[in-house]
Amino acid sequence: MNVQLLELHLSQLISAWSKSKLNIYSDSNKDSYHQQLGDLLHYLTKEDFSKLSIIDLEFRKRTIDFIFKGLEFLDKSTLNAFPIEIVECLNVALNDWIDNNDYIIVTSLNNSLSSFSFVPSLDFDDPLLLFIKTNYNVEFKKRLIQINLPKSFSKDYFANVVLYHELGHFVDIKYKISEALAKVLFQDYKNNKLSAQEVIDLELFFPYLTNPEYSDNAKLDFVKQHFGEYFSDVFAAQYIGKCSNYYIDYVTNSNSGTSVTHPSTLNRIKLVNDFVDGNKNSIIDCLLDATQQITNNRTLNKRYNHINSKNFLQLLPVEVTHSNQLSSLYLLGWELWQNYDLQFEKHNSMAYKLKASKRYEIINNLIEKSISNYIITESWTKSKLNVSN
Amino acid sequence: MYLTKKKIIRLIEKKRLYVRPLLENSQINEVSLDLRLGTDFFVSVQGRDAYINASHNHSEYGDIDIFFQETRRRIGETFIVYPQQTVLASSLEYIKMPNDVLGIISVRSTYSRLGLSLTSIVQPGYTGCLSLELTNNNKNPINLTVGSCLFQIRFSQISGSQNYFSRERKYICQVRPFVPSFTNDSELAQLNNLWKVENKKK
Repeated sequence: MNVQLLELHLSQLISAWSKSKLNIYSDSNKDSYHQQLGDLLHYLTKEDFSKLSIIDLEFRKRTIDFIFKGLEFLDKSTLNAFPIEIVECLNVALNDWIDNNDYIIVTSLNNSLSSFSFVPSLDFDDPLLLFIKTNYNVEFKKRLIQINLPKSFSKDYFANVVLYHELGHFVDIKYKISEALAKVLFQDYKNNKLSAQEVIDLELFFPYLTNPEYSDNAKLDFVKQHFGEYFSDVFAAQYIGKCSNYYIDYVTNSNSGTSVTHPSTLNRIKLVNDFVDGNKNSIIDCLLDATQQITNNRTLNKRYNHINSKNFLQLLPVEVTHSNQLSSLYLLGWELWQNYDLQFEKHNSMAYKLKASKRYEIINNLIEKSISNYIITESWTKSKLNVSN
Repeated sequence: MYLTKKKIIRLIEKKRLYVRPLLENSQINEVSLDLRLGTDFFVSVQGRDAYINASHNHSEYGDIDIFFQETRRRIGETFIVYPQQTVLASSLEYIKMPNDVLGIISVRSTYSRLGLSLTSIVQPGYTGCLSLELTNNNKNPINLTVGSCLFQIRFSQISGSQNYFSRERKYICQVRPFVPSFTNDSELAQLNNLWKVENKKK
């Protein structure tokens, strides 16, 4: 480890921090996390790197990376940049899958239109966090769930259905569901322990299993990776039904090819359709069983409700009465878009035909206002209860 | 004729007037409805161009967005309006007006006494959050609370019913303020043509 370069790295961090230190988040959890990053940086600057061992220097480098990564997301999670309504919906879903409120969802808005992703790199680096606690007495009791999304879509309730998929990756990695499932199924497949139907389904959704050109290790790696995608697809479908199918089918041009990281779009769509329609599918059965066993009896099931479109057609936001209705608003938006037959014009006596771009704006605005009204009303009711107590 | 409390309540009950969210029924007064300050703002700032061009003439100065900066607050947080600053805000409430009622918006007297001013009307049949153009005429900055009842709307019955969508509307279902755009204004385009002809401009 080159000490000079490590000092350069730290100098870059100090420069970045000087621009971020006065960030306002309107969220006490983010404020605390930000403050802890500041404390950690302060301790780092007091150290003399030239006197540290190679292993210690390596941990300093990772610590600097950790602060940088946190800042990258916190900088873009100030109230002005943060898609608060979208994240509220994700938080509701997250609460279905974790016991304690130990996580903070942060977002980074990127220029690329395909930059939807969950960044797992540092959320799960337990040895590093232990090192930080032991060496600097800074304990991060909450962890960041870092999600990227395109800046242009920060207020888009059509494309952002895929964020439920990204949250699925977080849940999958936290519980190691697809990793465990892939190992067991692959072994059972190799040892001929699966039923005939299970083999058929497995070879359909993981077609390279029958390809002699791949080694067993390569096949297992693919299966692990692709199970992660399938799990996240089913996870998302619990909240937004088939909506993500519409979007990925379009952006991937109904891709039938398999890549190292992703199964074919056609297989992903089939799996989601089978889950939503309740069709028999042994891959889904495996996912359901494994999830229930590993997550302490949490089940993958359809959690969305049907919301009547009457309000939207009258150009009114929906009065959401329970948090589990929030994701259903996305379905309502997609349903309206997919089956549009001049309903806005008919219901509102419009003397002209709305442009598609105007319809897009109307549906997005109505979804956003439905969510924000729910947030506001909840806050108001809670504050009244606090006052009266 | 301004509508009284009883009639405003009846319009809401009959689902002819929608106010979402109506956090407190006490927002309905004897002849008006109190409205809350929303969470989104555009504040005027000094832009790079020499002036804000509300014309198609001299189109080298055309981007009005550069004179405004977007910012957001949560309900309960505060927002400072500086002296002589123009702020585009919106109501927290999403409103749908009856087709035969006109809305007249004004600052509530408590805030009006601080020097805040705003006057606007809401067309019959309008649907969306109300756009509010605030100016601070005081010599001191004023710190406002998001969610406070800053404005009021009086409802005036008009003779006959109007169809808001009888012509194409620029603003439908708005949920946050917008910086105005003059680019597609056909009248300004016509006036620009007239000016070019008169002044032999290309």
